[in-house]
Amino acid sequence: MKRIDCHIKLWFFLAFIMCRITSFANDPGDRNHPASPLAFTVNGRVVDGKGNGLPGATVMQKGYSNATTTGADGSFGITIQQKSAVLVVSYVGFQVKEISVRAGTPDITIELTPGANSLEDIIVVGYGTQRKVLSTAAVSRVKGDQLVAVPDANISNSLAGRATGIITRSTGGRPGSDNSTLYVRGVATMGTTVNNVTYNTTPLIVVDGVIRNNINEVDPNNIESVTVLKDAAAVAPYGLGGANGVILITTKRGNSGAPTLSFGGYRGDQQPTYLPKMLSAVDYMKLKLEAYLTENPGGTNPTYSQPYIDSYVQNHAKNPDLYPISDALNDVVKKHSPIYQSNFQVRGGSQNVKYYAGLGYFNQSGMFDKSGYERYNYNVNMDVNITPTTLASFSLNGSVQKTSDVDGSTGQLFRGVYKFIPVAPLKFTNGLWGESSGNAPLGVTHSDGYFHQYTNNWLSTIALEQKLPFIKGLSVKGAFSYDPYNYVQKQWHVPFIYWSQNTTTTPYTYTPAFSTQESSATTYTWLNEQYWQNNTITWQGYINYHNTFGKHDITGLAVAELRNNKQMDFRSRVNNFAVNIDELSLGSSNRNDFDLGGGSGTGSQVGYVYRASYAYDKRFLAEASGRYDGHYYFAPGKRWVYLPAFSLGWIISNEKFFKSVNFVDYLKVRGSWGESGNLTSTGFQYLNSYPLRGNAYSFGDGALVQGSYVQIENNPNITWEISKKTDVAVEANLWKGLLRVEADYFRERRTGMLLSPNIVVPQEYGLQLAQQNAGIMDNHGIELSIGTTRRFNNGLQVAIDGNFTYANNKLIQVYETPVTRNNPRRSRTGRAYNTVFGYHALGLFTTADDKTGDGFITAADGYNVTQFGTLRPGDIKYADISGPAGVPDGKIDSYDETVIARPQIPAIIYGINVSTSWKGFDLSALFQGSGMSSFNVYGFMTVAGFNNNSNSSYEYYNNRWTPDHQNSKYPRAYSAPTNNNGQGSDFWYVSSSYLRLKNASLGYTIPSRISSRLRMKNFRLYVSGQNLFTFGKLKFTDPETTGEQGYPVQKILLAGFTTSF
Amino acid sequence: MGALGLFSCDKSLNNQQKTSLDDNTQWVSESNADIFLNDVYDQLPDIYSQPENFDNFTDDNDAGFYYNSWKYKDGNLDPASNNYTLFGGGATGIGTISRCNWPAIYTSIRKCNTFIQQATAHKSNYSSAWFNKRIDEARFNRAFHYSILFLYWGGVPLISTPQTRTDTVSLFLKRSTYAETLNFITATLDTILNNNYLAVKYSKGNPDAGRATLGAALMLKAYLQLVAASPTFNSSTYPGGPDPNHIAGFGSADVTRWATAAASFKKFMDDWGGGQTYGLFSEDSTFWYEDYKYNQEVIWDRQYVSNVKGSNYEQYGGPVYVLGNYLTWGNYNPTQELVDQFFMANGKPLTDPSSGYDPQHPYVGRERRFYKWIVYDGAPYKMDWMPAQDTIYTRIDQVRPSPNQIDFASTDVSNTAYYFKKKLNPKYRPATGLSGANYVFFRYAEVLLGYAEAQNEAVGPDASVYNAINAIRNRVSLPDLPAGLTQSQMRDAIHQERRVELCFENKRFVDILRWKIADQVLTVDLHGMKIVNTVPGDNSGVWTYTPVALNHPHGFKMKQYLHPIPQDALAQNPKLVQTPGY
Repeated sequence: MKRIDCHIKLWFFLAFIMCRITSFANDPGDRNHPASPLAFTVNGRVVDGKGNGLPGATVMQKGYSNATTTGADGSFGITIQQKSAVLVVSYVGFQVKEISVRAGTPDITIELTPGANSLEDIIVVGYGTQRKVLSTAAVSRVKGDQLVAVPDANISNSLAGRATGIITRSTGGRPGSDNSTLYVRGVATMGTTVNNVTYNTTPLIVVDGVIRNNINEVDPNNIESVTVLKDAAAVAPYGLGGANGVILITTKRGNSGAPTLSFGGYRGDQQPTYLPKMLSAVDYMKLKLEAYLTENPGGTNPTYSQPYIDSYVQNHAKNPDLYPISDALNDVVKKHSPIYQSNFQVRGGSQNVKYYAGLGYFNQSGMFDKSGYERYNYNVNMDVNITPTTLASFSLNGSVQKTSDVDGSTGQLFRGVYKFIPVAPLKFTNGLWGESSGNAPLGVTHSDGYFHQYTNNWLSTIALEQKLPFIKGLSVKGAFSYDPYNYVQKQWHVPFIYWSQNTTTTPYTYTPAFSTQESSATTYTWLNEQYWQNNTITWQGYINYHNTFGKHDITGLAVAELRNNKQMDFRSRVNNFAVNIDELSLGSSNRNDFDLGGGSGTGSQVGYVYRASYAYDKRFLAEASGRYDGHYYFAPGKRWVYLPAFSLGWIISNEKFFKSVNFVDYLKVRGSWGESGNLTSTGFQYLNSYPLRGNAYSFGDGALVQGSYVQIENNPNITWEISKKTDVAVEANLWKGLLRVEADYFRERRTGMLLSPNIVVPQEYGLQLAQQNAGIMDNHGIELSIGTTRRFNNGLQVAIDGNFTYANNKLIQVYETPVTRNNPRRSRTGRAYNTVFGYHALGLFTTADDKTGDGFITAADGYNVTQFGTLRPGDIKYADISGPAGVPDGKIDSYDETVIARPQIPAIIYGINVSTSWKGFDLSALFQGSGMSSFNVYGFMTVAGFNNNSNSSYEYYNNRWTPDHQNSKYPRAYSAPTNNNGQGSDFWYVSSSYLRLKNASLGYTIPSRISSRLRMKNFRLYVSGQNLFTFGKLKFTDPETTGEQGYPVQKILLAGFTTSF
Repeated sequence: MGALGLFSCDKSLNNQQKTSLDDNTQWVSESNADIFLNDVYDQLPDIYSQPENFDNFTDDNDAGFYYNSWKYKDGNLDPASNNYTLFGGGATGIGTISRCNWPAIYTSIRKCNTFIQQATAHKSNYSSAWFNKRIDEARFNRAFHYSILFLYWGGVPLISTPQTRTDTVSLFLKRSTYAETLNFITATLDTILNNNYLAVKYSKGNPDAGRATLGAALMLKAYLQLVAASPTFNSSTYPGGPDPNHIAGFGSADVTRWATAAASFKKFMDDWGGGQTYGLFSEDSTFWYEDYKYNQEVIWDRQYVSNVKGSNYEQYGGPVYVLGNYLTWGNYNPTQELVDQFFMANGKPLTDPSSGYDPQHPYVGRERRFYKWIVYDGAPYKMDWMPAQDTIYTRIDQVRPSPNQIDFASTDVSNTAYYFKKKLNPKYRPATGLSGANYVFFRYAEVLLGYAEAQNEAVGPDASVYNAINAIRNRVSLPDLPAGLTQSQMRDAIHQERRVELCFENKRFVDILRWKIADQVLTVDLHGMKIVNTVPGDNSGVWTYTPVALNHPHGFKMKQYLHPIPQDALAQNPKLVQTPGY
């Protein structure tokens, strides 16, 4: 309720501001240009260079939705409601042209110049911009307007399928932490793994030219464009940060012209793409009985006997509290939760002052009342020409975020829900709630506890650029950025309560009891608060040069950059609150209930960047770039690296001999080679160190003492990882832009990956060896993007863009013992990183295999392979592939290990983007898919009684092994998972390839004559959906899910509008 | 100019790492060096804080299918199947018990060796009194970690200084023989005993309580000698298979090994026992309580501090439901086999026809330890934290079903109809990290039991054997053993007394291994007690007691008398030979 109030308030607030500003902004217009009486019409004709009319060209009033298309002979007429206007004329395969018109302008003929517009675009690259046509690097680009109508909190989930070369792995759908992990051209390094978390495998994030890993905080509405830098030529300016690719986010800035005010928002509904169907009470008991009778043939002590099961529903009707039936998944988890967003921008300026300001609000609720995510974004920037040669800019991107969650974790809560036995009391008839094996999901959702994280961040930059008059084309620029980031986490635990039912009294009595949720929760209150702060300061000095001498075009860039980073954190916890007030100072006074911690650190990096480009006659292109980079992670004297890259391009279509090839408008080949680096390790690994830890031990009086130890040997020579990248590509535009093709082949070798050579010493050595820069990994693949745009005479416009990325890596050198290295079946070397190894399953034993009929599979049945404990029909049979002597040895153990599945991260990602527009309607759809990845389905859904007699799903129930259903998908029923069937084997891995309608939207822009009457430039209404349909082999869970205890991926349906004034 | 710029930039790359000590500061003073040794103490197995323990591997307890012990009892102990991450995972025996796996033990040993090496190198920074004590403490800790290897693996590589990668000669070591490993450990302990730098015992209030003592050193030595003298290892043949390298036993039988063990126990009793420094604590159930830390029976223990560094023990054992609350994981389910070992109050075993035991009233007239340690059907249950007393019912009662009712299934609720309450800290409601009671590795009762056993084997049931065993019995108000027992009868009496007295103290596993009875007791069905009314509809009949076979895994294989070396450890050190039978 509270959140909705806030939301309504915000809308009112935004609406209020909007009205104020629009009335202010439109005031001069109202005075000078009262709308309708001044309307005038311009007539004209759009032609090509030979004077032929171009049918179907678009003529549009700039800044308004007012538009028309040309007729068969290229003629048009457009009515303008203002005194004057700028017409924007566009036609596929020709450059866009702008023409100023005013009342009284005579009939005009507009001649368009051939050329693909997109090639004339300026693209953002490292530390600067380039014309796409002259670029020799592999970059892909997504325009901001493609990201706006998508209900994602940030762009991490929007890039897959849109930007070629991006491969993503979902991290679940939990609000505020649903970002996908991004990989550029796949996984090319093993990165750094600390405490089972891997770092340094993902791309560098750069926001407005400054290294800022703030992809989460940038509002998609404020994004002008996203550029992905992929090959060596593109990433070289980032030196040690570039090897995993770079994502450049450019935010919107002001432009000259009257202020444009935009206002938009959407509201939608989220629901999980997949939820399992859990067993009903009766089916659950049937399964238990089946398991019991299998394990105890003729047994007489089943937990649920057949008569008991048969009468259960009747008994439940008579006494629902003694014979409960529950459905935790339906009663605890919300199936629908709202999502909404609103935003407001003003943009404009004069010749000398340009400004942009934006305000955004995003709110996503979760599947539990307490889980949700809220974010406010505020942005303002300004570009001022102080003198004709001096440009000063200022920008600030800020956000305030709040992430809320249940006390504990949603993963544990989902686990508790899946585990909940359907014959255990979820809720008694009096409304109180019970437990199942100590889990009380309703106790968690009813608790006053919570998790809150409040995050604040600022990205601020001041820059001054001066053109130097003494050398034409030379300018210098200085920029200073200050990026403070902090969060406060507050976790308040109030013990989870359920009611214990006493059936010995009449009526039954209920007493409160504590649930410890499988000991993940305490029975006492506690409050934990944590503060984390990270301030980064970046200084940049630029020298830019650009000039042309006849056919020679020369560009030069040099940048010096210093980054300093300061981090500090502290946390405090108090246990045992006598009064349940969630403030630290109101907790227990007993010092044994206190816990404190904190630390701080600094870091720094210095880099010198250069780039020199040369173009001859728009035919031959050459570029050299690189960085001399220094980083504090490494030992003095070993801190600096020089990482260069070179690239060449040849625009064949500009050659004279090629002019005769009519259907090719543009054809370029390009290639690049270079080095870039990746910072692995965690810093200071060159020092011999004894980390201190608190609460190590205690003696005598119970006072705790500190401890220290050598965690890992030091390596004074530790250094960065080097990537050598090669890229060759073809870019072409054919048939006047009807077909656009860009194809890249890339290959990279990563050397110096940090690996622990532990296996070169005995395990008895007793200490982790220093990591060595010893690992080598190859990665190669292709990228393809194809696009077409077609406009029909009736105004229908269709654009289809497809992209495809395939990236496959291979370990070339890792530490491996001879046992696996020398066995082609088991060797990690030569295989993709994170290839899954395990046993090969031959299927399930059948009743026919039990020749003796004793219920067991043993040597007496002629089965002489030792697996894992006792075996029965319906258990998994493994392939005895080998043994210590290299031949099958009648025993399943690690000698039988083989490749059983592909890594979890897909090797293929592709997208097909279709967008059409007709009259005021627009329809777009993004189909996105991935391939060559696998998923482990072993768990609650696919096994009987996975944990503590837990419930199972119909996916298992309907596909389980029984004597009547021998050729089944899942093993027999058992009361507890068997050691045999739980082994890692290909029995449990399925392909997680999928194709899904990731996003679709349908919009309608109301005609200009109506919107202008409402004093709007345009007004668009739309409906949009996310994850609407999915096709794939995995039918019972989302292929992008992180596992059954992960937060389900959401399907979203929404409606919204955008308008501008 | 440019070079100057770069130089100053390199300076701007200097940052300080603040969270660690370095080679200089770590060893500069006694207080700094103590910090390193504190961590060494923390390497002692944290047995109270995890659900798997050594008793799960025996016929005393029916733990859940979640644990490695379940696989072990299924005959599933494999050096090579620990690579896969799914639930089935590896079958690593005791490997999942805190710091009891091969690489973890050697990591602990290296820490001891590093301390000894570095403290010796920086000796001039310390007083000799501090130095002498701390070196012997580190030696004791190292010996203790080696003892775990010795008990479960037999002969192992012996490393007494931190190895360096460059010294490839001493880097790849083969397994020493069983005898060499024993001698290595006992020689270290003898050094400590002869040095005499350590206190014999620290009592409550002493700030050094919890540190290694002479008492702990002598106890450990005697215990290892007792194990080594036992039939499995003190034999010309090892039951698990041919042992040409003598890593799984002496390869010969020699009755004087019993005498050696008896002498060590006797020295303990003579020098410090009988209430001089060590003795039996007066009360047999409060011994473990937090309030009686460091009492006169405690010889060697791991330290816990309530709340801030407490244990989870209470959460794993005891009744699952108390006063309607789902409280524990119910991991300690005493088997009918164990329950039957408890004597009658008259001191007689149930098997004695004159004991007065009535199988239809099995919980009547039993000895004191039974009522204090075992939770049976109808047992009153009251801990200090409980607002009221509860009665725990495990019977199958259709009229008033109890949540603790035996369920023969895989929930936490007992499958045997028993829970236990021995060692549970009564102060705290079962929860994570609350209990501050110490985990006791050795107590004085073991000196007496060990002496009685070794002396009986060495020379027969003489008066000193009677005295030792009767001291244990008399404490719990059991009468003396009858006079005139044969050596064999005395052996049975000692074994039974040991099983009862030390139940749930993680001693039984080594006992069934060293007595060579694991292949008998772990290859038969274990039992629970089914209690039903003859008229279940209204409970108007009588309650009948029927032991029911659990049908849980019981496929112990002979090779399991010792653990295998993990396959990856073998792969990394080609000089290692695998334990016989694997």
